[in-house]
This record gives sequence, C-alpha cells and structure tokens, in this order.
Amino acid sequence: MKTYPLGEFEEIVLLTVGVLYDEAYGVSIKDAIEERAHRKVSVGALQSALKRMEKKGYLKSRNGEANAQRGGKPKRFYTITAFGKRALQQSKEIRTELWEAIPQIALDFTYR
Amino acid sequence: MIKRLADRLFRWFCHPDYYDEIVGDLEEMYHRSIHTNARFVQWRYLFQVLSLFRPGLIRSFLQISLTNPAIFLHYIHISTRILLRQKFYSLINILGLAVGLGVCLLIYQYIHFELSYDQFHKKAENIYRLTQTTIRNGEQLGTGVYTTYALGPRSKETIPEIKEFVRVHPQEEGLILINSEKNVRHQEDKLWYVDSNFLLMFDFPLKYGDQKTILDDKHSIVITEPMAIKYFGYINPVGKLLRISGGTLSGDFIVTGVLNSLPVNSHLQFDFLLPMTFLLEHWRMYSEGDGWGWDNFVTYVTVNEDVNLDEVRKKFDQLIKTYKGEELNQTNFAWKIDFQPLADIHLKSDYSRDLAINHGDIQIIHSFSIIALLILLMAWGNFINLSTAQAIHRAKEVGVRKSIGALRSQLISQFILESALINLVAALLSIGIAYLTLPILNSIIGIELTFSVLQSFEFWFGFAATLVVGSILSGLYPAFILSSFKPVSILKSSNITLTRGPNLRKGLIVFQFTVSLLLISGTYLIYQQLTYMKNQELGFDIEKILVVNGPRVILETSNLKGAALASKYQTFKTQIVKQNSINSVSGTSSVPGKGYTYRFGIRKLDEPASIEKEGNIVLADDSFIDTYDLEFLAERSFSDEMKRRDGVVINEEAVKVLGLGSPQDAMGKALIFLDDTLIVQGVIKNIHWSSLKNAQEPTFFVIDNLYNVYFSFKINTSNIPQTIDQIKATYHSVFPDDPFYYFFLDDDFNRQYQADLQFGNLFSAFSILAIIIACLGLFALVSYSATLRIKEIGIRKVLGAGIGHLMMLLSREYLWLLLVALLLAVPAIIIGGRTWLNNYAYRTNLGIDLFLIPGLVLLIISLLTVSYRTYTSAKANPVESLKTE
Repeated sequence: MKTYPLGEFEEIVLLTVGVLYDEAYGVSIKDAIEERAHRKVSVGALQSALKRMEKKGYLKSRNGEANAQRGGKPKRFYTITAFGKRALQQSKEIRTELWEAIPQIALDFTYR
Repeated sequence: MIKRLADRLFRWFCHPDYYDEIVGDLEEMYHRSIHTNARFVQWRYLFQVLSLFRPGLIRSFLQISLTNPAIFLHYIHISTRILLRQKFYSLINILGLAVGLGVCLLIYQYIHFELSYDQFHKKAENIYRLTQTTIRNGEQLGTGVYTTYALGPRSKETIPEIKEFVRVHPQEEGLILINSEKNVRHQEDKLWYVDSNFLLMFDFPLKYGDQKTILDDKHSIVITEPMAIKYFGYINPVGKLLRISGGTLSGDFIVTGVLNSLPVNSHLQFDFLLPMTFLLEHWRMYSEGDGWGWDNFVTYVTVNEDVNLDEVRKKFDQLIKTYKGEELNQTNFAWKIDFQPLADIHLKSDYSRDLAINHGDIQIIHSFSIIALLILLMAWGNFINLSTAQAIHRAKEVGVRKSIGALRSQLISQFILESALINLVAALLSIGIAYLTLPILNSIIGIELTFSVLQSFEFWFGFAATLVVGSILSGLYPAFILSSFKPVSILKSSNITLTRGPNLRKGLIVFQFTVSLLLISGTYLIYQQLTYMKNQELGFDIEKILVVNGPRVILETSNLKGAALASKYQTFKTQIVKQNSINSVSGTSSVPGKGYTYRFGIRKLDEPASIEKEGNIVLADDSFIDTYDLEFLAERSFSDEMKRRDGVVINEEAVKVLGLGSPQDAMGKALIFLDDTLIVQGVIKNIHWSSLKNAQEPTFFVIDNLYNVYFSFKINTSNIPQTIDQIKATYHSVFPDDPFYYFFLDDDFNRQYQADLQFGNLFSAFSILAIIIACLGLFALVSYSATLRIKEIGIRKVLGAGIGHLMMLLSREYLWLLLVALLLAVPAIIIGGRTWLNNYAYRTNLGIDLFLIPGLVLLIISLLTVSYRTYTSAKANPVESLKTE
C-alpha cells in the first residue's frame, strides 16, 4: 500500500483548506484554524506547511484578485488535489482502524 | 517604523516566488486590526515576519549550492586535474604554504609554552609577588624582588586583604649535602628556605610525603625526584637522613617529602626545600630590627579575587611607615611595595637579582609572533603570485564556462574552493613538517617541548579559522582575475596576455624580499652583537682562569675559626702554587659571571648617610689582583697591610660615583659601608664583572682572606688535564671531606649570553625558512615568465643575443625589485636594530654592513635561484621555440 506522509499540523491545514473550499487563502485558513481548532497559528508555520504540501502535490494554487487592503497584492487560493484527498482519506482510515482496534475495556472509564 | 523595518527585512530574505502572496496576507491582517492597538499590531507584524524565516520560505543565499554534490565534486575533480597537470607549480605552491604554516605552528607552540608559565597552580590568579622599590629624595634607585623577612607576616596581620604569604630565601652559595649511608656527597646551590605553607600556595605534586606537615619540623627537608635519585637511588627516601654541611647552616635533616620533577614552565626552580624556621634560628642576624633589617626574602602573597590593589598598596605604604619609616627617614629613603602577578613573572620582569634564572621576554614573544605572521603572509603571497601567473592556463576553461552560462560569482566560488583545497593539503602537510622539525627547535631552545597544543580545542578552532581566512585571502584575488576574462576575446585568439596582475605580483615579491632582508639583518645583528660582547676586552685574562669551589665541610668539621682557618687556606694556596702549571691562586666570594656577593649603601667617611650610593661588594683575598691580572690606576705600596680586613680596592666607576676625584686622590680615603670603615688601597680599571648587557657599576673588592666560596687559578694552558688532576689531589689532601668541582671561567661567563645565542639561533632558523619560501616563489615565477617569453628569447637568440645577455634580461626585473625591497627594509632595520641594541650597555655600531651584507646574501641566493631557469631558457635551441605557430 502506498503511504502518504502527512503531519498532524499539515492534516489540519489540509482539512481546513477543504472546509473553505473556494475561499482558502493565507488569512482565511489561519482564521478558520484558529476558530475551529482553537489553536494559535503563526504565519510562518502555516506558510511553510502550505508550501510543503504544494511541493508534495496535496495542494494546488491559483492567483486571485488584488485589493488595496492587501497593499495591491493578489490573494493566492489553495485547493485540495486528488492526491491530497487520498492522503486525507488514508489518514482518516488509519485513525478509524486504530479506534476500532482499541479494546472496549481500555476506554471503559467511569466518571465519578 | 517597525513595520517598515520588518517589511524591508522580509523583502530581503523571502523567496521571491512567495513574496507577493505572503506580504499580501500580512498586509490584510495588519489593516484588519490596525484600529485596535497600533503599536501592538506593528510588533506582531515583526514577529510574524520573523516567524517566516524558515528553510522552506527563504530565498537561497548561495549562488552555487555547495550542498549539491555534483557541482562540488566536479570542482574538486577539475582542481585535482589541474594540480596534477602542473606538478611542478603545484608542488611549489603546496610546499611553500606548508612550510609557512609549519613555521607558524612551531612558533605558536613555542609561544604557547612561554605563556603557560606558572599557570598550573590552582591559585595562580590570586598569587602576587611583592616587589620593593627603593626611593631616595623622590628618585627611584631600583626595584627588586627581595623584601625583608618581616614584611610577609606583618602584612598578613595588619592588611585584611592579604590571605596568605610565603617567603623564599634562596641559598646561593653552595652547601654540601651528604647521605652518609651511601657516602654520596655533592655541592648544591638550589636550596631554598621557605615557609611551611609553600606547598599549599604552590601546587607541586608530591610523590611521597604528607603535604600538610611536610615542613613543620625544623629539621625536615623536601627534595625533588631527580635529587632523590641522586642521593638515595630508586627508593622512597622519606624518613632518611640527609646531612647539610656549610658553616652555620649545617645540620642533620630528615627527608619528609619528595616532589615530582618540577614542571619546566615554572619560574620557581629548586632542588631542595628547607624550613624557614631553621634559617632564622641559625642566622640570627636576620631577626635584627624585628626582621626589618635584611632584605633577602622573596615574598609571595595570595589575595582575595575582588581585591582593590590600589587600596592594598596604600596599606603597604602605611605598614612600611609604621615599622620602618623612622629609620628610612633618617637617610631620606623610602620603600614602595608593589604587586607582580604570578603570570607576569616569567615574561614581564627583568630584575638583576631574581629567583628565576631563566627569564622569558615578552619582546621575544612579540617579535616571534610578528615573524610568524610575516612568514604566513609570505606563503600566502607566494600562493597568490603563482595562481595569478598560472591564470593564463585557466583562461580557456573560464571562457568555456562563461559561454555556457556560468555566473562570475560561480567562477569566484569555484576558484576559492580550489584555493581552500590547496590550503587544506598544505595544512595537513604542515602539521607533519612541524612535528618533524620540533626536535630541531627543542635543541635550539634547550627545552623539551611537545606538541601539546594539538590536544587543545582552541588550537584546532584557530587553525581552522586561519585556514578559512587564508583560503579566502589567497584565493580571492586570483579568483577575481580569472573570472574577469571576457569569453569572446579569450576564445577568439590564441594569445592571451594578462593585463592585470604584474604590479601586485611585483609588490608581493618586494614584500617577500623585504621580510627576508629584515630577518637576515636581524640575524646578522644579533650575531654581530654577540661576537662584539665576546670579543670585548673584559679587563682580565679570562681564558687562563680555572675556578674550583671553595671548601664547605671544613668550615664545621674541624671547627676552625679565624687564624686556624686562614692557615688552612694558606696551606692549600702555598701547596698549589708550587706546581709549575699554576701561576697564582686566589680565594674570592664570587667570580665574574656569578654576580656580586652583597649590595650595600656606601659613602665617604665624612658624608651623611642620606647621600650614600649603592655599591657592589665582592670579598677577595690578597692575591686576587695578581691572579686576575687587574690593572692598577693607582696603588699603594702595601704588602702585609693589604691583608688587613679594612682594605678595599675599588674600580674607576666607584671613584666616579662617590666623587673621589682622580684615582690618585682616592687613595687612602676612608669609606663606610654597613658599620665598617674601609681604606681605599687601590683603584683598578673597570672590568666586566658581568655580561656586557650591563653597564659598569661601582664595585668594591674588600680584602678578606676567609671568604673563599671560589678558588680561581691562573693556569698554564699547556697541559690542562694534568693541571686539574694536580689541583684535585691537593684539594683532597687539604680538604678531605669536600667534593671537588671545577669550571673554566670563560665557559661560565659566556653562559650569560645563552639567551641571546638562543634568540639568534631561532632568528636565523626562521630567516632561513623565510628565504626558502621566498626562493620557491621566485623560482616558480621566473620559470613562468621564461616560458611566457620563450618566443622572444628564440628571436633574440636568432638575432645574435648571447647567453649572458639573455640571462640578464630575464633576471633584471627581479634585481630591481630587490633594490626596492632594500630601500624599504633599511628604515625598519635601523629602527628595530636601535631598539634591540638599547637593551645592551655595550653595543656594536649599526654599520652600513648591516644592510649591505644581507642585501648581498639575498642577491646571491636569488641569482642562484633564478640562474638555473634563466640559463636553461637562454641555452634552449631557438628552433624548438620558433618552429611552431
């Protein structure tokens, strides 16, 4: 079976890009992760994850419109590729399998 | 403001492909929240920028990627090929660099050793030696390391900053040590009386014995390992008996400890340690005036780390005032106590009387550092010279590379890499060279150095840094020259001429010549001064004098006093002069080259003590003048009268310093030193009692027949071994229990110049190496220019030029360079030479030969160097060089 290397943070970014579908660019991805995953994201970490995944082929990007808010610079929108989708699927499957493999007793906590 | 800075920073490091996008994102976020808290947002912007400085997002800073193994290997491949193709130049190139670096390594090791003196003591940082400056009426008379016996203890009592003190009293006149069990007896003069905490302040590891109590007992003795072997053989001698024989200091001592052989890099060099308590008990005069009377003790103190030395100095002033002030005041004297850090003793002190015999000299360290640097620069200069001259062979390569798109910066990095490669090979070789030549250095300086620096991290770091700097320094210029070629002109014509470079090459050769000239003249000057000092008339006939140690055991064993002892000496002297080969014998308290016995204040009888002068005193018997053939300027007809103790013979200098008028006027004048009154019985011409480094000092030869530390014999030099046997036989018959030692006065006297001789030898060794490096470079350059001009030579030859003419043609330009170098070197030689000669009271003149001879030497050497090459070029058949094209 082919494996798709995907780090934890990369997975979150990739999922978020999926969630945002057509509106995924730097700032919106950062906002979405901060809102949904309740974690602080530095621009550097996010950008290097995006560039890394683009190089791996999980993401592709296109230039969008420029506006004054952005100092006249265009947005760059990211979308998941088929390859990226497979990486996400595989990651999800691995997790599901692992969940199912946990014996019931191990999670049998009672809360007092 | 912060944002602008951050923007600029980001633009500098960001990968251009990502810049627009990321900066857009940053801007958007910035504008979104700018209304809330501008300052905070600006700072956040900066941190965001900083967070973007990571491998995936920054631009590439290197034009070529050294991490790309293919191009890297390619460069190495090409470099190796070129090195192998030009075997001769590569060899000279690498060899020159390796020799240069090797010399630097050697010098570094030497300097490292000299700087390591006394650093092995744990408390080294906090140990100071006290020095005492004598001042009279505000004028400094001199500074020395000898202080009074009371200074140490009183300072510890009254000055809280002084934690510990140790006093050392060296026994300079030899004592006889006897192990009667094995009947071993020798005369020793490196015995020190020290305070019992000596080994607690200084870390000399013990082989046997208990550190704490080692010198507690009055009759204990600590010996060093070589001495243990000398007296007891290879056993543990702790608890054994060692007898010391020498007048009042005689006694039986128990060995309480054996020290490992002392480290060479210690200024404290002794063979035996004896308790101070013993000395004080047996030499009661030291306790006179509560111990403030005699300054014969070297005092070391330890202080707290955060001590303010200025404060302590003031407290010492107060201390001296309290205990000694009144007495000093009467004579208008003052004492000033100062501190000398332990680390400074070896290299930065030069007192005429000192415990440390082997003085280092910070000046020598400096001059060798400069030499090392110059030699290294010469070697790099060679490299630059050869590489630029060689550049022509690389022109086509550069042309091709450029035409297929190589950037200039890529070419530069290629050539710097190449120079790094050569430097690296040379560096590895240089370690080998240094390793092999260390024994030579050792034999010159007389110390067994090992390559200890190779084990230190700092050394390797420095070495690597030197290599990097060197590679860049030496590679940069050739790289610029090479990469500046225009591909079109290179590839179009077969004739390439270097338009740039010759001036730099000439400059470098001038530099090499200048350095060589400086070193040769330095060597020449040092040897000239040494010869001058050795050839100078000393005022007595040093070659004919043999010196034998005076008896010591006799002083106590036969319990002789005064007249009886005198008659014993007289017996010896009368018996000795009966021998045909011995003309005269004299007993003295010291001999030339061994220093003076005492140094005291001396004045005329009718003058107040406040204007007394310092004078040196030697005690000598009545035959001293005869034995040494001293020349009288004025003498009294005396015979028996002179044998009286109140007679003194003084030198010219003393007449002058004391203001006694003419030598004749001085006769019969009464002088006072200590409490004695002495009548001047004769005035002799100045003689050189010590090295010619020192100026003449007022010297007083006090007539005393009982102070025979040395016997000097004026001998007939025809059959020396037999003469020595005769003296030995007589010596043993009169002084049966004393060991017999002898030396020739001239050998011993010239030993004073050992340090200068070493300096000269090292200097000459380094100048030879410098010349070798310069010659290697010169040779390669001449060969190179000869190949360039091969056609010209061919044509000239065809037109009828002679070999001599052609050789002259090829070497002429180097002769001009030599002349320029000579002009540059002259001022430096004059200034340096003057400075160095100022260390000597008697010095040779800086003559024109100082420039001419080195110039001539270098001229001959460089002519020889180039002649082989110019001769073969001039001799070559012109058909060979002209038939092609």
